[in-house]
Amino acid sequence: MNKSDLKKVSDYIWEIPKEYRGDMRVPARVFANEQLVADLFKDKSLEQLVNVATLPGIQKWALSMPDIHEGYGFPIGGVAAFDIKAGIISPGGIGYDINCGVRLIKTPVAYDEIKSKIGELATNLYYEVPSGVGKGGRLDLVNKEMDAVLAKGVDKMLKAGYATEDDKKHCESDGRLTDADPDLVSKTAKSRGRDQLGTIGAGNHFVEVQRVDTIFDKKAAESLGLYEDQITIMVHCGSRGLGHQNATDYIKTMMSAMPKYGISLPDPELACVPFSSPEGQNYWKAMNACANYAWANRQFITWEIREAWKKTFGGNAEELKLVYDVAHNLAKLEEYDGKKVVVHRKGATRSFPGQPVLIPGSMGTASYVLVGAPDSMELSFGSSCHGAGRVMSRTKAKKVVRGSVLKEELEAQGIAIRSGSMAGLAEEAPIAYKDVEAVVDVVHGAGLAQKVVRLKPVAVIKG
Amino acid sequence: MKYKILSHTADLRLEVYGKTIEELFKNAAEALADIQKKGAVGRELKERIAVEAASQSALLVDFLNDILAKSQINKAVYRVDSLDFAGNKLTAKISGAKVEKFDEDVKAVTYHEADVKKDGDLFTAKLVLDI
Repeated sequence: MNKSDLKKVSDYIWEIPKEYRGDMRVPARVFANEQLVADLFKDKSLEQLVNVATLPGIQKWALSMPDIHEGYGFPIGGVAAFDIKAGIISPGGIGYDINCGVRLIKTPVAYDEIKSKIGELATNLYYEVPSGVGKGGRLDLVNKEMDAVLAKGVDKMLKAGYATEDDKKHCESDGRLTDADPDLVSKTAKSRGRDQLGTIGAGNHFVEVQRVDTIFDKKAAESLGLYEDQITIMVHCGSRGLGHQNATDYIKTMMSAMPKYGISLPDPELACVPFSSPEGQNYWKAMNACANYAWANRQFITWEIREAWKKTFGGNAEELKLVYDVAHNLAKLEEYDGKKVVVHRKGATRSFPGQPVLIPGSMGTASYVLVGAPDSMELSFGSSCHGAGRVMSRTKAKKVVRGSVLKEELEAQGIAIRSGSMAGLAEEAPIAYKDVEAVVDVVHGAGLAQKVVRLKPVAVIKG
Repeated sequence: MKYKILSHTADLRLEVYGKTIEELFKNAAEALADIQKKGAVGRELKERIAVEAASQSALLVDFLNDILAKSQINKAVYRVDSLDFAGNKLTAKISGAKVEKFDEDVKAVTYHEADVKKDGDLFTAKLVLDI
């Protein structure tokens, strides 16, 4: 594929017509500007998007957000809506890390007030929030305790004293999906997740201390309780090994079931079944249970962050309040033009009008808070991008960047780094990502969400 | 060469080689172990795996995912001791070394591009790991 296969719809929207490949049921659309379009042909992301356009019951377009990059099955940054009667559900369209998401916490202090203690805060966060692969957490969830987390999400954390009512109110779906069945999550998945609640894992997951650097929309910022130079804390992680195993289990189930439903696919990783089928409904309820685990995970991490805050500054850590918590690997039942659809977002967030949209940039650059804009409902099934989007493989990043040198460079910029792995740090070097400013400008310009504030990192904690 | 890491933007793509199908599966498990924790040695944990799939490619993915699950649950890195094939079924004996921490968070071995092939005398398989 090359640029001539793309039709320019507007400054921010490009279309791959249905005629590009005979098996496409709908066109594919890419949100990008001229600068980002150039990156689209460096990997297989557009071919993957075309594959999504072939799936049964897909509505309007297979969509990709400006942070699109190659995944497996669906591209990362992919959005697709399927009719709930004639359409499918696909675990590969949600991702292995079910309800991977981002949470933003606001603090009552400005950067200058705590500048001298940022290093100490970073160290306390590193020790309070377990990170790294294989590092277990404080809780051992078995039997009824695990099932309660899977059924109730943040409500379970509230009952256990790890959340406030205010926390719950500021989570997408109040941090709990009710159509969840813990019995449909395998024992293996539960075993993988039993000691992982309250842990961030590794890869691109992090806890970051930030300062509000630029305000684009003063009124919207005020309504979110954000002001210039304020300290915020961002968390990025998901359902850990539990969600990964659940996806593995159900992709296997669906691969066996597909012939029964007459489904054949250009890529087995797109494995899917009709949404209304028994296998589809089982996955749906298991996925919702895993999403609840992920919300409970980010909530328990918030409790740990409050512990680190108290250790560093004393006082009442409940003054740390949520701005919002948004999922970016999830399927949801929604209605557009009077039709019920199951919207798959893989590396994409909801962007409903007025809803906070959180877009973390690459390590050491900037993150953004936006609010969903009305046009998103017409253009993108109420969706926006989820991050900056990779452009360089982890292997290459490790070859061209030395973790220890990167750490020195970031610290010279005033960013405290606490990382359990220098190789892991190198993998996440800013050079490996797209320019977050360009990505956010597309989201803003296309009318999917409006910029509210920009956040700059002052401390990064990762595995 | 037992395996080679290839380029992939977000995840990890690799190509595995073996003179026999048994060797291909063993080398794929070794690649997974090396990615999880380079140099992990020891055989204190013993496990058995039984897998059945619709194709040889799916069998390889399912086999590696079973090892991965045991690995994450027991915090260990496994190597294959023996393998027995019967069509698209296999049983394996594996042994593992306990580790404190993994180098890389392998979430899953995906079916994307998974393809076991025989080129002349060599079996090859491409795999994409979600990391």
